Amino acid sequence: MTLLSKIRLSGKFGKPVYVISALITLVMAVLAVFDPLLIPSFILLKLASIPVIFYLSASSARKQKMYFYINLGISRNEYLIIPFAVDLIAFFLLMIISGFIGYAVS
Amino acid sequence: MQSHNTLLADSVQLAFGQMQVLQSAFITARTGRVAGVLGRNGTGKSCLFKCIMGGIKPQNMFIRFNEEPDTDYGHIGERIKYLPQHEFIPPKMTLGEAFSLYGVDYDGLVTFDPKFHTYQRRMVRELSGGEVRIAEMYMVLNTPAEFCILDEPFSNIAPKYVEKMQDLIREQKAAKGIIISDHLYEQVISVTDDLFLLRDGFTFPIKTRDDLIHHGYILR
Repeated sequence: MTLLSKIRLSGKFGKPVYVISALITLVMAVLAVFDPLLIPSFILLKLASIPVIFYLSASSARKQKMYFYINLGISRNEYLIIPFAVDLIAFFLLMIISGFIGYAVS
Repeated sequence: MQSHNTLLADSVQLAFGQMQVLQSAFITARTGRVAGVLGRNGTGKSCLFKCIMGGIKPQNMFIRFNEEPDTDYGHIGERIKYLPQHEFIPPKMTLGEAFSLYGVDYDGLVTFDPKFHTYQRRMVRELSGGEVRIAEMYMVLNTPAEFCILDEPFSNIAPKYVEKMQDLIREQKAAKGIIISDHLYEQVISVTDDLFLLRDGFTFPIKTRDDLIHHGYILR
Protein backbone atom coordinates (compact mmCIF):
# COMPACT_ATOMS: atom_id res chain seq x y z
CA MET A 1 0.00 0.00 0.00
CA THR A 2 1.45 3.36 -1.03
CA LEU A 3 1.69 6.37 1.26
CA LEU A 4 -0.90 8.15 -0.89
CA SER A 5 -3.35 5.25 -0.45
CA LYS A 6 -2.75 5.33 3.29
CA ILE A 7 -3.41 9.07 3.43
CA ARG A 8 -6.59 8.58 1.39
CA LEU A 9 -7.67 5.77 3.74
CA SER A 10 -6.92 7.98 6.74
CA GLY A 11 -10.02 9.94 5.67
CA LYS A 12 -11.94 6.98 7.07
CA PHE A 13 -10.01 5.97 10.16
CA GLY A 14 -8.94 9.51 11.07
CA LYS A 15 -12.34 11.13 10.63
CA PRO A 16 -12.80 12.07 14.33
CA VAL A 17 -9.36 13.71 14.35
CA TYR A 18 -9.99 15.54 11.10
CA VAL A 19 -13.41 16.82 12.15
CA ILE A 20 -12.29 18.17 15.54
CA SER A 21 -9.07 19.61 14.15
CA ALA A 22 -10.75 21.14 11.09
CA LEU A 23 -13.08 23.13 13.32
CA ILE A 24 -10.18 24.48 15.41
CA THR A 25 -8.09 25.19 12.31
CA LEU A 26 -10.88 27.02 10.49
CA VAL A 27 -11.59 29.31 13.45
CA MET A 28 -7.88 30.11 13.74
CA ALA A 29 -7.54 30.70 9.98
CA VAL A 30 -10.42 33.20 9.99
CA LEU A 31 -9.00 35.04 13.01
CA ALA A 32 -5.53 35.03 11.42
CA VAL A 33 -6.91 36.88 8.39
CA PHE A 34 -8.09 39.70 10.67
CA ASP A 35 -4.98 39.74 12.85
CA PRO A 36 -1.91 37.96 11.36
CA LEU A 37 0.10 38.77 14.51
CA LEU A 38 -1.91 36.06 16.28
CA ILE A 39 -0.43 33.31 14.08
CA PRO A 40 2.49 32.38 16.43
CA SER A 41 0.02 32.00 19.30
CA PHE A 42 -2.23 29.85 17.10
CA ILE A 43 0.70 27.61 16.23
CA LEU A 44 1.44 27.10 19.93
CA LEU A 45 -2.24 26.49 20.63
CA LYS A 46 -2.46 24.00 17.81
CA LEU A 47 0.59 22.08 19.04
CA ALA A 48 -0.86 22.07 22.55
CA SER A 49 -4.20 20.72 21.28
CA ILE A 50 -2.61 17.66 19.64
CA PRO A 51 -2.18 15.59 22.86
CA VAL A 52 -5.75 16.42 23.89
CA ILE A 53 -7.24 15.36 20.54
CA PHE A 54 -4.97 12.30 20.52
CA TYR A 55 -6.27 11.28 23.94
CA LEU A 56 -9.89 11.83 22.93
CA SER A 57 -9.56 9.95 19.65
CA ALA A 58 -7.61 7.00 21.06
CA SER A 59 -10.76 5.53 22.59
CA SER A 60 -11.18 1.79 22.98
CA ALA A 61 -13.74 1.78 20.14
CA ARG A 62 -11.18 3.22 17.78
CA LYS A 63 -8.59 0.66 18.93
CA GLN A 64 -10.96 -2.19 18.01
CA LYS A 65 -11.32 -0.80 14.52
CA MET A 66 -7.54 -0.52 14.23
CA TYR A 67 -7.28 -4.17 13.19
CA PHE A 68 -9.50 -3.53 10.18
CA TYR A 69 -6.81 -1.20 8.87
CA ILE A 70 -3.83 -3.24 10.14
CA ASN A 71 -5.16 -6.06 7.95
CA LEU A 72 -4.89 -3.70 4.99
CA GLY A 73 -1.18 -3.20 5.62
CA ILE A 74 -1.23 -0.09 7.78
CA SER A 75 0.98 -0.28 10.84
CA ARG A 76 -0.21 0.70 14.32
CA ASN A 77 2.01 3.78 14.30
CA GLU A 78 0.73 4.88 10.89
CA TYR A 79 -2.83 4.40 12.11
CA LEU A 80 -2.18 6.70 15.05
CA ILE A 81 0.11 9.26 13.42
CA ILE A 82 -1.06 9.81 9.81
CA PRO A 83 -4.24 11.81 10.65
CA PHE A 84 -2.26 14.14 12.94
CA ALA A 85 0.54 14.60 10.41
CA VAL A 86 -1.89 15.37 7.57
CA ASP A 87 -3.88 17.71 9.81
CA LEU A 88 -0.73 19.55 10.93
CA ILE A 89 0.45 20.04 7.34
CA ALA A 90 -3.00 21.36 6.37
CA PHE A 91 -2.94 23.68 9.39
CA PHE A 92 0.44 25.20 8.48
CA LEU A 93 -0.62 25.67 4.84
CA LEU A 94 -3.81 27.37 5.94
CA MET A 95 -1.93 29.61 8.37
CA ILE A 96 0.50 30.67 5.62
CA ILE A 97 -2.40 31.48 3.29
CA SER A 98 -4.30 33.32 6.05
CA GLY A 99 -1.15 35.24 6.95
CA PHE A 100 -0.63 36.35 3.36
CA ILE A 101 -4.25 37.43 3.00
CA GLY A 102 -4.19 39.17 6.40
CA TYR A 103 -1.03 41.16 5.65
CA ALA A 104 -2.30 42.01 2.15
CA VAL A 105 -5.57 43.33 3.56
CA SER A 106 -3.93 45.27 6.40
CA MET B 1 4.72 -15.67 -2.28
CA GLN B 2 5.72 -19.32 -2.08
CA SER B 3 3.08 -22.03 -2.11
CA HIS B 4 3.93 -23.38 1.34
CA ASN B 5 4.53 -20.85 4.07
CA THR B 6 5.40 -21.21 7.70
CA LEU B 7 4.90 -18.74 10.49
CA LEU B 8 6.57 -18.97 13.85
CA ALA B 9 5.94 -16.63 16.76
CA ASP B 10 8.14 -17.61 19.66
CA SER B 11 9.29 -16.41 23.09
CA VAL B 12 6.36 -14.04 23.38
CA GLN B 13 6.56 -12.25 26.68
CA LEU B 14 3.90 -9.77 27.71
CA ALA B 15 3.18 -8.06 31.00
CA PHE B 16 0.82 -5.27 32.00
CA GLY B 17 2.55 -3.70 34.97
CA GLN B 18 3.06 -6.44 37.55
CA MET B 19 0.69 -8.83 35.78
CA GLN B 20 2.56 -11.31 33.62
CA VAL B 21 0.19 -12.44 30.84
CA LEU B 22 2.55 -14.33 28.55
CA GLN B 23 5.87 -15.66 29.78
CA SER B 24 7.23 -17.64 26.86
CA ALA B 25 4.36 -18.41 24.53
CA PHE B 26 4.76 -19.69 21.02
CA ILE B 27 2.52 -20.53 18.09
CA THR B 28 3.32 -21.93 14.71
CA ALA B 29 1.26 -22.29 11.54
CA ARG B 30 1.82 -23.45 8.02
CA THR B 31 -0.04 -23.65 4.76
CA GLY B 32 -2.44 -26.55 4.60
CA ARG B 33 -2.84 -26.87 8.36
CA VAL B 34 -5.09 -25.35 10.98
CA ALA B 35 -3.57 -24.64 14.37
CA GLY B 36 -5.98 -24.39 17.29
CA VAL B 37 -5.28 -22.41 20.44
CA LEU B 38 -7.26 -23.23 23.54
CA GLY B 39 -7.07 -21.72 26.97
CA ARG B 40 -9.22 -20.54 29.81
CA ASN B 41 -10.43 -16.93 29.97
CA GLY B 42 -7.63 -14.48 30.64
CA THR B 43 -4.80 -16.79 29.67
CA GLY B 44 -3.65 -14.42 26.93
CA LYS B 45 -4.90 -15.98 23.70
CA SER B 46 -6.17 -12.69 22.27
CA CYS B 47 -3.11 -10.87 23.59
CA LEU B 48 -0.87 -13.33 21.78
CA PHE B 49 -2.69 -12.65 18.50
CA LYS B 50 -2.62 -8.89 19.04
CA CYS B 51 1.12 -9.06 19.71
CA ILE B 52 1.63 -10.89 16.42
CA MET B 53 -0.46 -8.28 14.58
CA GLY B 54 1.39 -5.39 16.15
CA GLY B 55 -1.59 -4.00 18.04
CA ILE B 56 0.10 -4.61 21.40
CA LYS B 57 3.81 -4.21 21.93
CA PRO B 58 5.17 -7.20 23.90
CA GLN B 59 8.29 -7.06 26.06
CA ASN B 60 9.79 -9.75 23.86
CA MET B 61 8.76 -11.59 20.71
CA PHE B 62 10.43 -13.42 17.88
CA ILE B 63 8.53 -13.79 14.60
CA ARG B 64 9.75 -15.51 11.50
CA PHE B 65 8.11 -16.16 8.14
CA ASN B 66 9.56 -19.15 6.32
CA GLU B 67 13.33 -18.76 6.46
CA GLU B 68 13.33 -15.05 5.64
CA PRO B 69 16.23 -13.21 7.23
CA ASP B 70 14.37 -9.90 7.39
CA THR B 71 10.67 -9.26 7.17
CA ASP B 72 8.70 -6.01 7.28
CA TYR B 73 6.93 -6.73 10.57
CA GLY B 74 5.55 -3.18 10.70
CA HIS B 75 3.12 -4.04 7.92
CA ILE B 76 2.36 -7.60 8.93
CA GLY B 77 -1.28 -7.17 7.90
CA GLU B 78 -0.24 -7.59 4.29
CA ARG B 79 0.64 -11.22 5.09
CA ILE B 80 -1.62 -12.14 8.00
CA LYS B 81 -5.32 -11.32 8.21
CA TYR B 82 -6.73 -11.14 11.69
CA LEU B 83 -10.31 -11.55 12.85
CA PRO B 84 -10.46 -9.98 16.33
CA GLN B 85 -12.80 -11.11 19.05
CA HIS B 86 -15.09 -8.09 18.63
CA GLU B 87 -16.66 -6.50 15.56
CA PHE B 88 -13.94 -4.71 13.68
CA ILE B 89 -15.50 -3.32 10.51
CA PRO B 90 -16.18 0.39 11.19
CA PRO B 91 -19.91 0.76 11.99
CA LYS B 92 -20.54 3.45 9.39
CA MET B 93 -18.90 1.49 6.58
CA THR B 94 -21.06 -0.55 4.19
CA LEU B 95 -20.40 -4.25 3.78
CA GLY B 96 -19.75 -3.72 0.07
CA GLU B 97 -17.11 -1.09 0.82
CA ALA B 98 -15.36 -3.32 3.38
CA PHE B 99 -15.29 -6.25 0.95
CA SER B 100 -13.97 -3.99 -1.79
CA LEU B 101 -11.12 -2.71 0.43
CA TYR B 102 -10.18 -6.29 1.32
CA GLY B 103 -10.36 -7.38 -2.33
CA VAL B 104 -13.04 -9.99 -1.70
CA ASP B 105 -15.89 -10.63 -4.12
CA TYR B 106 -19.16 -9.79 -2.36
CA ASP B 107 -21.10 -12.23 -4.56
CA GLY B 108 -19.21 -15.03 -2.82
CA LEU B 109 -20.84 -14.04 0.46
CA VAL B 110 -24.26 -14.06 -1.21
CA THR B 111 -23.53 -17.57 -2.51
CA PHE B 112 -22.39 -18.56 0.98
CA ASP B 113 -25.61 -17.22 2.45
CA PRO B 114 -28.32 -15.70 0.20
CA LYS B 115 -29.65 -13.54 3.05
CA PHE B 116 -26.75 -11.13 2.39
CA HIS B 117 -28.17 -10.43 -1.06
CA THR B 118 -29.64 -7.09 -0.02
CA TYR B 119 -26.99 -6.12 2.53
CA GLN B 120 -24.23 -4.87 0.25
CA ARG B 121 -25.13 -1.19 0.68
CA ARG B 122 -26.07 -1.45 4.31
CA MET B 123 -23.87 -0.01 6.99
CA VAL B 124 -22.45 -2.48 9.46
CA ARG B 125 -24.29 -0.81 12.35
CA GLU B 126 -27.60 -1.69 10.66
CA LEU B 127 -26.88 -5.43 10.84
CA SER B 128 -27.17 -7.80 13.78
CA GLY B 129 -24.06 -8.87 15.68
CA GLY B 130 -24.28 -12.39 14.26
CA GLU B 131 -24.65 -11.18 10.68
CA VAL B 132 -21.64 -8.90 11.05
CA ARG B 133 -19.63 -11.78 12.52
CA ILE B 134 -20.47 -14.07 9.58
CA ALA B 135 -19.61 -11.37 7.04
CA GLU B 136 -16.35 -10.49 8.82
CA MET B 137 -15.25 -14.09 9.06
CA TYR B 138 -16.08 -14.81 5.44
CA MET B 139 -14.19 -11.68 4.40
CA VAL B 140 -11.08 -12.47 6.45
CA LEU B 141 -10.95 -16.09 5.33
CA ASN B 142 -11.32 -15.19 1.66
CA THR B 143 -8.84 -12.32 1.57
CA PRO B 144 -5.67 -13.23 -0.28
CA ALA B 145 -3.07 -13.72 2.48
CA GLU B 146 -0.53 -16.25 3.65
CA PHE B 147 -2.10 -16.69 7.08
CA CYS B 148 -5.36 -16.07 8.92
CA ILE B 149 -5.83 -15.68 12.65
CA LEU B 150 -9.39 -16.17 13.87
CA ASP B 151 -10.13 -15.13 17.43
CA GLU B 152 -13.40 -16.62 18.68
CA PRO B 153 -14.98 -16.88 15.22
CA PHE B 154 -17.90 -19.03 16.41
CA SER B 155 -19.06 -16.60 19.09
CA ASN B 156 -22.62 -15.33 18.65
CA ILE B 157 -23.42 -17.32 15.54
CA ALA B 158 -26.02 -20.04 15.06
CA PRO B 159 -24.92 -23.72 14.94
CA LYS B 160 -25.78 -23.90 11.24
CA TYR B 161 -23.27 -21.15 10.51
CA VAL B 162 -20.66 -22.73 12.78
CA GLU B 163 -20.81 -25.80 10.55
CA LYS B 164 -20.67 -23.72 7.38
CA MET B 165 -17.68 -21.80 8.75
CA GLN B 166 -15.93 -25.04 9.64
CA ASP B 167 -16.36 -26.16 6.02
CA LEU B 168 -15.01 -22.82 4.83
CA ILE B 169 -11.95 -23.17 7.08
CA ARG B 170 -11.28 -26.68 5.72
CA GLU B 171 -11.62 -25.31 2.19
CA GLN B 172 -9.38 -22.28 2.75
CA LYS B 173 -6.57 -24.10 4.55
CA ALA B 174 -5.41 -25.48 1.21
CA ALA B 175 -4.13 -22.02 0.33
CA LYS B 176 -3.13 -20.58 3.70
CA GLY B 177 -2.14 -21.36 7.25
CA ILE B 178 -4.92 -20.76 9.77
CA ILE B 179 -4.77 -20.17 13.51
CA ILE B 180 -8.04 -20.42 15.40
CA SER B 181 -9.10 -19.90 18.98
CA ASP B 182 -12.54 -20.34 20.50
CA HIS B 183 -14.18 -21.58 23.68
CA LEU B 184 -16.31 -23.99 21.62
CA TYR B 185 -13.39 -26.39 21.89
CA GLU B 186 -15.05 -29.38 20.26
CA GLN B 187 -15.81 -27.32 17.17
CA VAL B 188 -12.22 -26.07 17.20
CA ILE B 189 -10.76 -29.56 17.63
CA SER B 190 -12.81 -30.87 14.70
CA VAL B 191 -11.13 -28.45 12.26
CA THR B 192 -7.60 -28.36 13.65
CA ASP B 193 -4.56 -30.34 12.65
CA ASP B 194 -2.36 -29.06 15.47
CA LEU B 195 -3.63 -28.09 18.88
CA PHE B 196 -2.05 -25.91 21.54
CA LEU B 197 -3.10 -24.86 25.01
CA LEU B 198 -2.14 -21.60 26.67
CA ARG B 199 -1.73 -21.83 30.42
CA ASP B 200 0.19 -19.72 32.92
CA GLY B 201 1.81 -17.78 30.07
CA PHE B 202 3.22 -20.86 28.32
CA THR B 203 2.11 -22.87 25.29
CA PHE B 204 1.62 -26.60 25.59
CA PRO B 205 1.12 -28.89 22.58
CA ILE B 206 -1.99 -31.02 22.96
CA LYS B 207 -2.15 -34.52 21.51
CA THR B 208 -5.10 -36.14 23.23
CA ARG B 209 -8.20 -35.21 25.16
CA ASP B 210 -6.45 -36.47 28.30
CA ASP B 211 -3.91 -33.67 27.87
CA LEU B 212 -6.76 -31.14 28.14
CA ILE B 213 -7.96 -32.81 31.35
CA HIS B 214 -4.40 -32.93 32.69
CA HIS B 215 -3.99 -29.18 32.11
CA GLY B 216 -7.32 -28.48 33.79
CA TYR B 217 -8.99 -27.10 30.68
CA ILE B 218 -11.89 -29.56 30.80
CA LEU B 219 -13.18 -31.76 33.61
CA ARG B 220 -13.77 -35.00 31.70
